[in-house]
Amino acid sequence: MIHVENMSKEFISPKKYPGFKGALKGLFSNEKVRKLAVDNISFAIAKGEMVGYIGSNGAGKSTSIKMMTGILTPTSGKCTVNGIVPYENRQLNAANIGVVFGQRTQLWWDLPLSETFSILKEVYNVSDEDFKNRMEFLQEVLGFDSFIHSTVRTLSLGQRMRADLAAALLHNPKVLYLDEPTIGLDLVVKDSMRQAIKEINAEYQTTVILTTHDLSDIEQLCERIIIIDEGRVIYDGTIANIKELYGKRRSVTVDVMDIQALEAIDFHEVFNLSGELLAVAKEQSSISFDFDKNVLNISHIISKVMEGTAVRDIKIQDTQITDIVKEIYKHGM
Amino acid sequence: MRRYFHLYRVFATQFMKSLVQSKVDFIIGLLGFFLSQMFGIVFLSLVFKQIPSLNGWTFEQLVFIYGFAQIPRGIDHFLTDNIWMLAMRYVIRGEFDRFLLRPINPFFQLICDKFQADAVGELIVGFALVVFSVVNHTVTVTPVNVLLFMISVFAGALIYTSIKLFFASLAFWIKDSIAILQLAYETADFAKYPLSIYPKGIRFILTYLIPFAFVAFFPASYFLTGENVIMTIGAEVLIAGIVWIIAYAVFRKGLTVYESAGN
Amino acid sequence: MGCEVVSVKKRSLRQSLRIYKPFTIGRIQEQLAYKWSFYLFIFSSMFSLLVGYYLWRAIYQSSSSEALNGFTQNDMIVYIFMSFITSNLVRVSVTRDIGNDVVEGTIAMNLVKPINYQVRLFFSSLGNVLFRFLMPGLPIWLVMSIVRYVNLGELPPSPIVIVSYLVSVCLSFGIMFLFDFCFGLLSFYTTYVWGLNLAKQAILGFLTGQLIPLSFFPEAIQRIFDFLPFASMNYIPVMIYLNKMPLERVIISMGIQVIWIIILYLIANYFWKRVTKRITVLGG
Repeated sequence: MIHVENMSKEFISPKKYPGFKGALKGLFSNEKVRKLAVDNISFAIAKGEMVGYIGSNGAGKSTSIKMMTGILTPTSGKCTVNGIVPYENRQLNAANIGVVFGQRTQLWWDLPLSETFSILKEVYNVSDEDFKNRMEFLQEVLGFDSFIHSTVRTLSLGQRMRADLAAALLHNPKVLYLDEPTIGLDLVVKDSMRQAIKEINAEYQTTVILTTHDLSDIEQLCERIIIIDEGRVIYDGTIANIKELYGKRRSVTVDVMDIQALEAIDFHEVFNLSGELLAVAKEQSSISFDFDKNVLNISHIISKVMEGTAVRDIKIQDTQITDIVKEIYKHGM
Repeated sequence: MRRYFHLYRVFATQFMKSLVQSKVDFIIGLLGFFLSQMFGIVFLSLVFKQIPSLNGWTFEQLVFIYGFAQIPRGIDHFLTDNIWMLAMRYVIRGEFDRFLLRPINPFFQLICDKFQADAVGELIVGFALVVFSVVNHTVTVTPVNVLLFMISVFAGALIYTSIKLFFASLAFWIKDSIAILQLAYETADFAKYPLSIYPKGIRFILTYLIPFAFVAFFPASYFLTGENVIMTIGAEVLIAGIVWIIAYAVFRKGLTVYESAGN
Repeated sequence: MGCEVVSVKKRSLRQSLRIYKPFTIGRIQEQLAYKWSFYLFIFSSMFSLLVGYYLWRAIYQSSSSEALNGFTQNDMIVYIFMSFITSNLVRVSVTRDIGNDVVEGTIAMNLVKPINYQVRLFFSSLGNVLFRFLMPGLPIWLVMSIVRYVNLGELPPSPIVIVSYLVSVCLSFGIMFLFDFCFGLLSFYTTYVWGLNLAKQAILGFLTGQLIPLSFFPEAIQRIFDFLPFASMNYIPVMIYLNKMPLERVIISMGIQVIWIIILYLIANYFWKRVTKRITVLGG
C-alpha cells in the first residue's frame, strides 16, 4: 500500500539572532540554516496493516507523514501510496486517504458538525447510499449523535476528536494517518477512539499509520512499529521482537506475611549477582525484584522468598514498551 | 465542473447563514469601506470648489473614474478576500495543510473558505457613483456599453485577483508575504485618478508591472470618451488573461515548495 | 498621558519607568523583527503621500490662481508631507492591542498582573511613536528639507517653531492615545477589530486633515470641527509647523489640545471602569 524509498527532506531557513542587537543584525544578514529533517528513510506498509510510527519531538515523524500525505515534497527519494505519488497527484491521493491531526482540526470551525459532514460528502463525492451507511456505522462506533448539531467551535476536545476521526473516515479511505489522535483525551474517550480505529480496520481493511506519544495506544493497536530518530529509521519490526531484543528486564513484586523474616537474606549473595543485574527493594509488606531475565529465573526468586515466609500475592510485570522506547531515545539502538 | 458549482453553492449558503449571525460585524465593516470610499469623493468635491477641471478632466468625469474603479475592486474583494490569509498566516502557521488534504482544487478551497461581505460597502459607493454618472449624462447607456461594462468589470476583478494571488503566493517562499502584498495592493490607490497626473515611472509601473491602470483608468476613459475600445477594454481583457496565467502558475509552483510548519 | 497618574499610586516615577520601559523596547523590537515587512512597510506607507503629492501638483497646475485658500503650491506640499509625518508619528495601535487581548482572552490575566494595563498600553504605544519618529519620520523630513533648500533655497522653520511643533505633536499623541483607547474598548462588544480599525482610520484620515487642510471645508462644517477632537490630532501641529498661526493662536490651540486630553481622559476612565466591571462580572 505504502512504499517509501530513500526519502529525505531538508529545510533551509534564514538564521535568527537573539536580542535587540540580533534583530538589527538580522535586517542585514543573509545567513541560512540547513536542517535535514528526514534522512534517507525506506519502508513498505501492506494493506490492512496498523503501524505505530514513533520518535521523540523533532525526530522527523511529522515531516515524513506530511510527505506521505502529499503536503510536502521530498528533497530526494520517492514515496507512493496506493500506486500514486502523493505530492505529485495531491487531489487523486487525497481521495484515498484520511488524516487526523490531533492538534489541529480539519473541520469547519464555524459550522455545525452536521453541515461539516454534508460538505465533506460533496467534497469527497460520496453517494447518498454510502453516506447513509457510513454515518450509521461511524455513529455506532464513535457516538456523536448527541452533539451533531453543535457548532464545531463549541465541542469539547473529546467530542471534536471523535468528530475529526469520523470526518476522516466518511469517504472510506484506504489509508488513515493519525497524528497524536488521543492527545489530551481522558481515558474513556481514549478507549473509545482506540476501539473505533480497531473496528474500522477490521471492517474495511483500512491501513493505519499512527504517531503518538502515548505508547499504550500503539501497544493496543499495532503489531508493528517503526521508530525514527534524528530523521533515520532506527527500528522497523514487531513489538514482540523489540521486547525480545531490549526487554531483558523483568520485575516481580511479592506480598509477604512477614517482611522481617526476609531481613537476614542477602539476595545478591544468594544468586551471586551484582546490583546491576538485580535490584531489590523492600516495602512495608512487600519485596520487589527488578532483574535481567537472561541470568535469573523467576521461579528461583519465588522459592527463595517462600523459604523465608508465607506469600500472599505475586505480581509479575513484563517490560513496558514505554521503557524500551525511553531507553532507545536516550541511548540509541 | 458541476461538482465545483454545487460545492460553491454549498459554501455560499453557509456563508449567508453565518452572516446573519454576525450582523454587527457586517455593519461595522460595511460602514468602514463605505466611509473610506465616500470621503474620497468628498475630497474631490472640496478640491473642485477651487478649480474648474483637473488636467482636462471634469469633476463628473473624475467621479465616474473613481466610482468605476470600486466595482471590480469590490467584486474581487467580496469573492477572493481570503487570499490575504495565504500571505498572512496559512503558510507561516502551516494552516495551508488542510487544503492539500482534500481532493479538490486548493485555490478553489482557498477562496471558498471565507467571503468578505464588507466589500458591499465598496460596491454601494461604486454603483451609486456610476448611476450618478449615467443620470447626469457623463456616460451613456447603450446595449454595447452595458456588455462592455460587464466584460470590463469581470476582467478588472480578475486582474485584482491575479495580482493578489501572485504576491500572496510568494509566501510559499518567504513564509509571510503580507507586507509585499500590501505594497502591491496599495498601488491601486494611484489608479483612482487620471494616469496623466503622474510622472513616467509611476505610469510605467501601473501599466506594465502591477497593471491596475487597466482595471480602472483605461476602461473608464473608454466609457467617458468612446474612443479606442481595443486599446482600453480589449487590452484589459488580454492583460487579465496574462496576469491570471502567471499568478496561477506561481501559485501551483508554490505548492511544491510549501514547507508546512512545526518542523 | 494622564492615565497612569491615578492608578500607580505609590511608585516613584523612576520605578515606574523601570517597570514599563520593557514594553516600549519590546514594541520597537517587534517592529524590527521581520525585515521584509520592515522595508516594505516604510515603502508602502509612502504611497498615499505620493498620490497626494502628484494630485495636488495637478490641482495647482489646473488652477488659475497662485494660492488656494491661502495655500501656495509650496505650502501645500509641505502641508501634505508634514501631515504624513505627523499622522504617522501619532498613529497608535491601542485598538488592535486591546482587541487582540480580548480575542485571545488574556485581558483578565492582564488585570491580575501587578502592572497597570492602561500604563502598559501607553508605554507600548510610546514604542510605536519612537520607532516611527526614527523611521520613516526623520528621513522623510530630512529629504523634504534638503530638497526644498536645494531647489528653492528655503530653510526649515526656526527652532522655536520646531519646538512648538514637537510639543504640539506630543499633545496630539496624548489625544490620539486616549481616543484610540476609548475606541479599543469597543472590542469588548464586537470581536471584529479589523472592521473597527478600518472605520476608525477612514474617519481619522479625513477629519484630521491628512488628505486636505481643514480650511478647505465650508465655514459651517469648520465650526463643527471646533467642537471635535480631530483637528487637535494632526491639523494643529502641522499648521504650527507651517508657521501659519500668530503666537497667541498657537498658545490657544495648544490649550485646546490640553482640554481635549482632559476630556478624553475622563471619558476613557469612565468607560474603563464600566468595562472592567463587565469583565469581573462576566469573566474575560
